[in-house]
Amino acid sequence: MGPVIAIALKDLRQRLRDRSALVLGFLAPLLVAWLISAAFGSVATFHMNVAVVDQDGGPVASGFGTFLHSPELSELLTVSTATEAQARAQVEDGSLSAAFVIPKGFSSAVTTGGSMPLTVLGSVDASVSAQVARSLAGSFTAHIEAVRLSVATALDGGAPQARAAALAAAAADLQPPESVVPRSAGTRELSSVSYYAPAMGIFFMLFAIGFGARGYFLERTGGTMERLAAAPISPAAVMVGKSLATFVYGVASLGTVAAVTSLVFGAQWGPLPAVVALVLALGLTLVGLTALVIAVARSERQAEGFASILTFGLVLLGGNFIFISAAPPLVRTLSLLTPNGWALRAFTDLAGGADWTAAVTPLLVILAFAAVTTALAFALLRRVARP
Amino acid sequence: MTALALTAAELRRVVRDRTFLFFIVLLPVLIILLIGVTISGNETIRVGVVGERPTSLAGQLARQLASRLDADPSLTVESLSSRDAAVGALRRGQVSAVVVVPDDLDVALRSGQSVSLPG
Repeated sequence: MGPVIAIALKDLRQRLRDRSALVLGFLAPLLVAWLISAAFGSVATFHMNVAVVDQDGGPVASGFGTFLHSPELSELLTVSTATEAQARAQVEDGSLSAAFVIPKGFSSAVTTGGSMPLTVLGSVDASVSAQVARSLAGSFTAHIEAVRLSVATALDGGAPQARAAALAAAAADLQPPESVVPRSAGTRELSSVSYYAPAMGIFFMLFAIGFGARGYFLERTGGTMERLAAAPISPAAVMVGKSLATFVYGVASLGTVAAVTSLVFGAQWGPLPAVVALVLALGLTLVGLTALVIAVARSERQAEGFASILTFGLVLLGGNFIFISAAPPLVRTLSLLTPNGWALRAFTDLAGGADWTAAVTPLLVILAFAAVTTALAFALLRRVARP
Repeated sequence: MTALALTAAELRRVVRDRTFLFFIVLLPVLIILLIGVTISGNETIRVGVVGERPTSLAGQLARQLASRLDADPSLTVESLSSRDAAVGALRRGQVSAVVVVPDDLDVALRSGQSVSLPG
């Protein structure tokens, strides 16, 4: 055990002397996670400032104002009034999310069976806000249509024309047959930092593949490997010692990102035992991938190239650069071909309020990936070990 | 001529370097594609639809409700297989909301009763 620890400590000391390893392993993930979270942080709560341009002044227009001020919409909307010119200017400059223009004669058109459009002003730069505003206007006009249909049916069925207004008022007070009731699903809102902290932590952790593989070839060309081979240490002990250094560096890197982003930025990583298990499993994957690069490459330059392509290939496919849940289903499925994709899924589930059991399947997949890559690397390394 | 020969030699060296080609050609294209397909989905609101039971979406009105939601250009509707899948999709931010279609939707609406859709 002594030689293994000594080799691991020697490799770790060398790595810690390398400033680029320190920056990439510890500083860069924290900085990038913080930057991305700061950029997307304000998206977490959706709220709209809307204005009503009431050119009608009639009862239906006033009913629309009451609808927008209803308690169900109070958290979503801040409603103000404006002239059409003011509303257009404010939607244009982004101070209003959308505006509703109720034209003159709208109320009388509704009550006399005619039609007149309710205009929604939205910006191309806030397409979701414009769509929500359109849906609100559509919901109100659908209610008007339902009331008109009810009154027309009643009149057609023999109700006296004189009761039309009373019937309309009664129908307007009725709830629609289908209503959506907000219900909590028991999930926690996923903040930007809770997604990008593990995403960036894993991305920069994968750079350890390059450091490990490059270090191996540098030692071969420097003659250190030959000296180790001549020493009374088994080749397996040398490989285990080097793997242990890569494992410790990777775990320390991701562990530091987890601790700092939780304590300083308030990132949710989930229950500690599940997070520790995932970080350790990713550390083992790192060892397998490093060994695989060493087994496939023939020189330091090749090892560096393979490691970079592997790192960027995995993070692109696994979804570390993007919010993978917003990606199309095919991209989401492809992300599950990678260990980092599974790890991100687990961290996202845990951050969203799932219990530790949500990490079990991802953990097993990551461990299987580590086992397969390690086995493959050692099979290939026999060839590399030949002089 | 010497400069041209040097340029040609340098270009040949670059083209032979697969790692360099990956970083200057393939990686930028892949990143642009990936971010493009992800951001293009952000112009609509992602909503999930799930039946309270596996048979809940079999009724005519329930199917109409699901297809109306699907046809709405402001929504990207994802059919979810179960309530557990729906909770998972909400948790990951895959959808912003889930509409749970109750089992008795068709029967209740046809008999004039009101129906609440948990969302």
